Amino acid sequence: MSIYVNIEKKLGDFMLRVNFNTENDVLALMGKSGCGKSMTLKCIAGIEKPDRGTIIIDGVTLFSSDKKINLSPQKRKVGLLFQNYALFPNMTAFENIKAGANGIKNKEQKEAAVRAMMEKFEVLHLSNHYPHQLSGGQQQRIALARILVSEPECLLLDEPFSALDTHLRFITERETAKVIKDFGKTVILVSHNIEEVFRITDKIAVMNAGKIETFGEKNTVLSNPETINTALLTGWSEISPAEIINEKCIYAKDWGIILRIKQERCSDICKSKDNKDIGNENCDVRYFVSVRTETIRPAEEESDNSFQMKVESYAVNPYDTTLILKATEGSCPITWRVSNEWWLKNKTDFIRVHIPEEGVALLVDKR
Amino acid sequence: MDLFPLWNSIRISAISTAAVFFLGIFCAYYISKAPKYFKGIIDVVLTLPLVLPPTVVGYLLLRVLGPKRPVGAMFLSLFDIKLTMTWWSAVFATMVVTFPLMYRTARGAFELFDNNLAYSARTLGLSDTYIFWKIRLPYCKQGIIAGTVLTFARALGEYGATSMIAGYTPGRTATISTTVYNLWRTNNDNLAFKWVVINIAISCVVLMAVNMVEKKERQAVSLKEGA
Repeated sequence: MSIYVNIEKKLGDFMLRVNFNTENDVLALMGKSGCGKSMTLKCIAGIEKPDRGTIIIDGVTLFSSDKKINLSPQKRKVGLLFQNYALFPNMTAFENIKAGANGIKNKEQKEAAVRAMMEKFEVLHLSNHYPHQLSGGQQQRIALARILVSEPECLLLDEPFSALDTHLRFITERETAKVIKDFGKTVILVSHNIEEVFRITDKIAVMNAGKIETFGEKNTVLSNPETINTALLTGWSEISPAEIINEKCIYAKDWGIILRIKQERCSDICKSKDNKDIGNENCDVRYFVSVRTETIRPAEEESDNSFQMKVESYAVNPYDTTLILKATEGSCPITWRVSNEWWLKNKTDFIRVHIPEEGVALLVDKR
Repeated sequence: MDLFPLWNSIRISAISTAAVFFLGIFCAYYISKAPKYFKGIIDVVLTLPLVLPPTVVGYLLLRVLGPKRPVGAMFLSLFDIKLTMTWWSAVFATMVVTFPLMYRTARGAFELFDNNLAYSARTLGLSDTYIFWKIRLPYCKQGIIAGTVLTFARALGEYGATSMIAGYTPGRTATISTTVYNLWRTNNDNLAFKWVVINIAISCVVLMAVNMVEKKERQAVSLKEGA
């Protein structure tokens, strides 16, 4: 099971240029709203037509501008789950799923398939309910059942949990994760929630302004985000402009501190962006350094990456405390969350913290 | 009392409503999908009969369908059929006058349609014909019913264009509205009043039906939004 996508589409000033290729994976497509995630899914499903390019799933060419192939959505066997689930409002749950089973011509076989699918999703008791009588989670299960009964070769999920209340989200997510695992073919999940993505998917593709900026195994992308956009989406909340001192040391301009970084992260970035001359001021590449604040720990003594910081202010939240820290006078603050108990015990104006090398990432911004 | 005008009015309205129903939905569906600039122009042309005085519509129809005019003359020579001054001539008049009502309400309903429903149906392998009849039309049902009832009501009250193209011949082309005018003109006030009462009664029933449909529509919308 593989999917190959290499497409271009112009929409006014916006240019979508997507190119990826993955095998038997659950792939997350992340990005800010308007970056082209949903448009990419629509192009794969055949609802939108790319200007140029190729889409191949399992060796079947769905679209090719060179070969003049453009299969209709009906023939693509691509299941697309919409954000609002798009259940047909004039049909009951049973009729909705039956509409998905249109490939089965024999009436009894069709109804048996629908019933079996409803049993699998535990929605048989909702057969005669109309969509507006169902909760968000129930609607999602019926929409998924409707797609799976049509036996797709590839499953596309467009922000499937964003319409749900928080308490339903996690349960529905666990159910969906199981469906995805049982499905066993290529799945693309659009989301901007890194926790959700981390729990469900294998690979992550981050899009920005119509292009895929970062693509890789989820752990690689998470530990080394490489761009500001990817860093922000993967939970690297603190970012400062940076100057590279050498392969191991980076000066964070906003915070006024020198951070040690894992050497391979630095050299990876510099190599991958074809910038041989590290620290060249004339280059049009701008560097940034990011800190994953969850990795920051209180430190006892002076060591690499440990800094004496002033506690500018703090705010007590229900379950933890947010500290606003400054390394030097006039520098930009870093926020750090600690447990309430710890803060009560160690309340002070100056604090020594340690930022481990794993919690530091070098980012590039090419302009 | 000769009830011919009642029967004649109802058959003219029923036939023209049936024709306008399909024509209006057909135009509404294709125009709601058309590119913007094209939509603007065609929209003005199709809505024009709504704001033109019915006598202007009648005049234009006579220019086309009259026995000495191109289309009228052609039908006369080929089939020996006169297109004016028969009871069914009035169907042309009511069709033109009521078309915008059907077209606009149906178009409004189609534009409210959630296109994701059609998209997801297509990815599920459902044909475009199935989508139109089983998903799109039922979704827009309330708007289309309201449009149809309005069309019927307006057709029933058509006077200007009808009197020009079908005239007033008692027992042949007379409708309720032309009968009322002629009874009043000939000082038959009693009978005119009876027809007025009949007309008001029918119109009230039709408008109550419109209100009921619209109420149901509002409920349906609030249910959809609540979901």
